Amino acid sequence: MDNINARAEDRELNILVVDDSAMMRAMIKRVIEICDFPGAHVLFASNGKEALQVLGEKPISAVFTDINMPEMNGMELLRQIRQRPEWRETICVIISTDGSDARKQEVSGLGVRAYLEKPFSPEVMRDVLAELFEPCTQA
Amino acid sequence: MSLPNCLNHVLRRDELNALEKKMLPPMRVNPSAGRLPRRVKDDERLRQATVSVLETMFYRAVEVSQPGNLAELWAVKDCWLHSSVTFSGAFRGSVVCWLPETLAEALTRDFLGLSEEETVDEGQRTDLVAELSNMICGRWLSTLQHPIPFELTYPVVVEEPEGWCPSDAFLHGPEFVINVDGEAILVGAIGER
Repeated sequence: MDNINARAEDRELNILVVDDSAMMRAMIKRVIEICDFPGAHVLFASNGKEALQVLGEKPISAVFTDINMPEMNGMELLRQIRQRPEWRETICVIISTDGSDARKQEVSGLGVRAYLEKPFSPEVMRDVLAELFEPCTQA
Repeated sequence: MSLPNCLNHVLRRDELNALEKKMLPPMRVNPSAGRLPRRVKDDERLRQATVSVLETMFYRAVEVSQPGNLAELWAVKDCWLHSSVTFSGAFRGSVVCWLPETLAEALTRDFLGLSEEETVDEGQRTDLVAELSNMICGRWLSTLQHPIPFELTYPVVVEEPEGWCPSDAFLHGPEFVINVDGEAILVGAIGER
């Protein structure tokens, strides 16, 4: 993705956090801010429907989404993202309490780059962010 | 009242009853699968899930004990909050938690990294309690590794009436008490016959 591969100082790293819990959204934002990735900017949506709206309005580098949400759940959101050519390169990460193999199998065909099980420590979140974004900070 | 709105304020018992009738349809059960017993007795995995959530996401050192002498909990003058998450899939049931409002506020501060000077509002506290029960339930069900994924409903948080006593909770299913720095979280799972 162009904005991911850009030089660290120039890039725009919009991360969309999708969770119906305001508490989780705030916590994830705090961890991302602590990681201090250059150019990182956190946006919020409280369900899949709102997330699609944000994706249509702004260039989004990565989507961190919960699965169980009202209006439109995370599974449906991922399906819709994968159907749109302009969002095909968007990095998708699941953040869910459901860590069962059955659920992971269900999302495996949807191009998910990481699966974060709640509960997770901020350090785990930081490691995932580093794995996803650090190559472009070294560009 | 719509269901998502209930995440931002605490419901009274009468509101909860009305909401459950209106918003929570009977859950469909996979007829080929088994069901939980009425109460989940001594489920080590539920205990582990609760401890894992509190230690990992809140950095709290916790101690698990069986419900027994709750005398010291009766001294808690604070308001108690009750949260429940229902689930369906291979079987259906709910996970229930009770905790004092003061502990909910302290956990909210931990979770958001707020200082003592910053205010925690009712919506944040309720959201925290809802998310806590959601994580405990989800974590517990994940450890069962059932081939059919479970679906969870959105947690419903209720403020217990004034004078409510923790021992009342044991009439409805909690199986163990988590001691968090001298305050208690009561947790249990209720299944359907």
